[in-house]
Amino acid sequence: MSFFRYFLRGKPAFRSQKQADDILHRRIDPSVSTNLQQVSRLFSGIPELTTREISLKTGQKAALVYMDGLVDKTVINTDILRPLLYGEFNQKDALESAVAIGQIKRVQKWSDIEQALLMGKSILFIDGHDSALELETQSWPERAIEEPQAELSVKSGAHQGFIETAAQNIAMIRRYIPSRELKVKELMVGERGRVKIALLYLADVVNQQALQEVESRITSLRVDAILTTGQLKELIEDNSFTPFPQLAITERPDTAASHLLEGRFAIVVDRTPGVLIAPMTFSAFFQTIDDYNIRWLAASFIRLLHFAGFFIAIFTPALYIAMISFHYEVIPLPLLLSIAESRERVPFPPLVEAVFMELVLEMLREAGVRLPAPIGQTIGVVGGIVIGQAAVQAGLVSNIMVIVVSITAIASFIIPNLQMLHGVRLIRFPMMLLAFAFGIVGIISGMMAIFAHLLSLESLGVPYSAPISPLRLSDMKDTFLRLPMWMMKKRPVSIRPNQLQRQGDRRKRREDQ
Amino acid sequence: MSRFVKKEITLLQYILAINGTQVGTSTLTLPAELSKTAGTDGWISIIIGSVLTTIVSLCIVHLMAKHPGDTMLELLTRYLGKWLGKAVMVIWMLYALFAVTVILFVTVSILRTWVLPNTSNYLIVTLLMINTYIIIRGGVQIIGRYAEFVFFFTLGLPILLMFPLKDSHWIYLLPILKEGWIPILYAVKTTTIAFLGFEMAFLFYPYLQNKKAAAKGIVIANALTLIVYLHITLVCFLYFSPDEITQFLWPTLTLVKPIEFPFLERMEIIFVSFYIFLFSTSGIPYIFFVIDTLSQLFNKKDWQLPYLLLPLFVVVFFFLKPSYEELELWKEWWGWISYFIAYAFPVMFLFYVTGYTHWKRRKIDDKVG
Amino acid sequence: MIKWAKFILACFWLLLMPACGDRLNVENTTLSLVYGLDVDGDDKIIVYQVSPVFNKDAKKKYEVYGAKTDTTRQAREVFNSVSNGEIATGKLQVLMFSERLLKKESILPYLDVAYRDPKNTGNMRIVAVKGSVSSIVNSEFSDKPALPMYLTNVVDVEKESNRTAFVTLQHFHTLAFDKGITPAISEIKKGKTAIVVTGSVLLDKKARYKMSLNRRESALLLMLQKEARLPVSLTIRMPPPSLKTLNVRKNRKEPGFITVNIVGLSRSISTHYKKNRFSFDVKMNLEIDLAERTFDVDMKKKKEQLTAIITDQLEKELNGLIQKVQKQHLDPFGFGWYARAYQYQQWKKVDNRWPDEFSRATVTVTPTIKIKSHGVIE
Repeated sequence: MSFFRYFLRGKPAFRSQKQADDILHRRIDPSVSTNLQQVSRLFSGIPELTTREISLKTGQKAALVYMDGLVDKTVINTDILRPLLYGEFNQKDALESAVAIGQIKRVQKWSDIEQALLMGKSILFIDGHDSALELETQSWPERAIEEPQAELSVKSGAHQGFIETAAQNIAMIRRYIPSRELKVKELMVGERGRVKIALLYLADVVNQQALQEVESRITSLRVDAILTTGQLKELIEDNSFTPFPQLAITERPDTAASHLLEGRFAIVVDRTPGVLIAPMTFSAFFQTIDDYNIRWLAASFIRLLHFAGFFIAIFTPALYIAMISFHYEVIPLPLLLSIAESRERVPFPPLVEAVFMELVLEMLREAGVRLPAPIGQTIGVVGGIVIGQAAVQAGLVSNIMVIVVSITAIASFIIPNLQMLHGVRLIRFPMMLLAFAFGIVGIISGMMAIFAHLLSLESLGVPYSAPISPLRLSDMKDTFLRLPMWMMKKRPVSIRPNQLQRQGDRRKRREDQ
Repeated sequence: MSRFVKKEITLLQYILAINGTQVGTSTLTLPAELSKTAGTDGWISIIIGSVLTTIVSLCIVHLMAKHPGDTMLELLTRYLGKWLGKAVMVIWMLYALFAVTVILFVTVSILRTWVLPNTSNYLIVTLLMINTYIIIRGGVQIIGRYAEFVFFFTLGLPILLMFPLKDSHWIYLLPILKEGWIPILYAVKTTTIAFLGFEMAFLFYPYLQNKKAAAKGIVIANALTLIVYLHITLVCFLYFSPDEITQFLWPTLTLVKPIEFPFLERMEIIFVSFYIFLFSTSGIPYIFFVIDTLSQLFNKKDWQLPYLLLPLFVVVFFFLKPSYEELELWKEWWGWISYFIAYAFPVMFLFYVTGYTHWKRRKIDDKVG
Repeated sequence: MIKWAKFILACFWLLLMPACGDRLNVENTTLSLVYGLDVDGDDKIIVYQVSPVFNKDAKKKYEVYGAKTDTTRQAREVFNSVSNGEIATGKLQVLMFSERLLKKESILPYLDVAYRDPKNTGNMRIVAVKGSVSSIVNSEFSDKPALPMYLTNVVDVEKESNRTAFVTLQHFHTLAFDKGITPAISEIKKGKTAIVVTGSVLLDKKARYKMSLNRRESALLLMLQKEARLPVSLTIRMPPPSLKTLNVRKNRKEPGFITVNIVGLSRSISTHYKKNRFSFDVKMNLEIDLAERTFDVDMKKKKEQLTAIITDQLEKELNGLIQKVQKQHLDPFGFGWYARAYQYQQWKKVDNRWPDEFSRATVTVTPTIKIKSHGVIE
């Protein structure tokens, strides 16, 4: 009976991975038909696999195998099939001279062929040859290049953003740094979803120990698949138990390029538009690309605003709670009287009031993210004004609380990096609890804990709190203030680059002229 | 290279860590104590005290510089033998333990008096201990960074202290040397306690990156402390009349009380709160010294058990509630003990070591020659 | 992992502990803004306190309580028995003492709690009341703001006009304990339609009432102490003979007056000890602007004479004030400081009874005046 089954259904697919493994280690057969059979067995259940059998002019049989949807059909038709079917080619040069494709490789092992097919390359089997040709025909649906929503540049910076193809992203970066020293190390990570991770760095600038560290961290990963850069970040960062990010993700090629020029690494993950920047220090999260586009006085002011936003967002609700519960004497008398009057109508203690308002604000924020644009904006306005006002009128919250919460929200929006923003949003709540329990002593303890924690964090061996502590004066030119470009002659010392000088003396050039 | 030294601190961190240890509880009480003994000439005693302290600190640095890779324990065992060296180390450890206990009790008592009268002691201590744990875990490197950071963060406090100067009267200081030099020299006893903390140079020296600059560093640290104390004392003496300053227990805080800004009054609450940072930089090196010494004595790297010391403090506070007079007594004891351990010991040890090496070299010369 | 669990547990235990007895929401307090101490027939004192009412439904904006007790602190317990919230004195603006109390005994014992409690502010204004304290706290003026704010503002405005010796709690401590100076505080009384600042009160070393100064004398006192906030404005009466000297063209009002704004004031005191007594030489350099002149005089020609006349008047007034104060064995000017600074040996002998010693001292004030400008008309 099994004989009939076999006859009717043809050869069955591999029953187990072991059988597949067996084949994968073997080399291909010179006979095209055998190879085609192997291919169909390997790729059973995958109808996108297309096979095109051709007869070459010399009479040999050849077969072109590719995955529909992952290849550029025009290239296949015009540059591969047409020359093969109609063109002349030299028998001696074999097939490399036949096809008009830029990148051709000879493959012999089934494992390579399987990987190549799954990546969108085409395989050309020719009768009588014991190796097949791997042709670069990849093309898949891609997005047009547009500016990333989260990192807008308003001051006439580039309006480009990364897309989901690693090769394009690397190309965009190389446009900013057309240098021989920009090296790319390609690593493949993932068992089931193999993804190409490209590690970019400037070879003569970057710290060699850090390079080895990053490489070893990435290659030692054993995961199913890495779908987003965020996942990769969590897998290779120094400390996951902290609300503060140690590596930055950016979607802008100019940001990535400027970080590369300072001596950092850019890690491009295929299939995601986010590029991971390592190592980062705390102050680096407050730098935006616009800072370098506008005049340094304005840029310094905005930079200081960013830092102020960080502190205000964390401490304002907690300070409010501490002041009116424990230390009302600190508030000047006229303000105190009006606060007391407005709070008199509220039945809740300040902590409950504050937490309630903050949670409502967080929910509004999340809701605004998920709803489509017109509705989201309306909700924002409605939520902010009407609900807040109504809550005050109903006596649920005092109007001072509304002001405090809105200042906190606005301050937290100033923070340029989204990951840092999330961290800040989280820390607010323990601070409020501490303020409620211990007043300003609680806030100071919380501050101490946060600072101690920041001081002990490291990002790829670089102290997170540099250049503030340990103090690196030359880096301070770009931390709280953004001093003029011609003053920033050195790369950031905190990252310990190999080569420090990045600018010459501007005056020297003038004198030469 | 010594077994237990793994990380390094920069020169600035070294300076600020020692400075941070020195500037602690005395800032709040020093002007009153000085004026009790030396009147308005007390500020001269501070200068004399700092000179003394600098000399002793240089002795310490000189000692440690003889064998740059050694920690304190290794240095002691080298010259005093295994058991005597360890015994001396244990004495130092107990001294540090006593010091940090006094500092903790004083901190908590100030917080309780000025900011939170009704909160239990042990809760405040728990908060402090949690923060201490986070900092100590990272070792000397984090302590160095923390001290550096706190220094810059609290730079606003001396500026705040300049505001009362608009009500100051220079005439309070005159005449200088009104009672002669004797009360001034007598008051040096008080100022030497204020400068305590330099003995932590024993702890920080092995981690210093650039050991040749250690002497320069410690002189700068002492000079910084001197400036801080002079600043406070002079401002207090200028603002308060000489007859009334002895009435205040914490003149610095009473000084800051009347300062008013349009958006903030009662600055002493804010001042005390920021001052907690300065208390922490005073106490943490001592605790780290104790824990580090324990792990060195028992030869265990990264031993977790000594960290139980921190919850132990909380328990102690649960039971022990000293009165203000008892605390003053403890502070006096600390002062007395520190004369022997922190001041006398390094000098005597240096003499001993120099004599020992000299004698040894002569012996070798005799043998060879 | 276990470490984290322990840590989180510790946090929860910490934060939910009910031992945080310091928490006191501001709307649950009775915020005392004014305290007043008076004395009645027997030995007890009456303590008043005025605090604002936060409830929107209440008709009156502030409430007044009185208590008959032995000490200031004891009164707080009595107030707590009737008040809406717990009494909080951290924001006290004004501390009043009636002159009856000041005349009867020293107020230092009553101030002890103010200094001892760290929760008190050092900026309380110390004020003496001519009359009874209850007249002030129970006064209701319909066209003025709430009493606590009104009282504070009245005293503050006078401070700016230099018509009263403005003393905060902190400053009072210095004045009371320093051996070289006696205290001087503001004085107010209830007028028909408003609260009036009448000048200053001088206290002796034991903080007992000695004498009052009117507003003009207070201005001079502030100038001598160098605590005046410039500009100080003084209206000087011109003695009749002087008008002849000035060749007055037209006298719009009899007798002539001139108002000056003192815009620059520098003072130097030299201290000597001669003939068994202290002697102080005060040289004051004043720069003045002419603010008002009720007679016509040719400024170009008669400037020096005018200056001489003004100098004369001021000298008389200043020296007169000092002698008046000296007679009462008081030294609110602070000459004791100079004695201590420059004549320390002599000072040491008498430092415990400096006011008496000062009454024997010779003080000469020599003002020098320079007229800088005289407005926009001639």
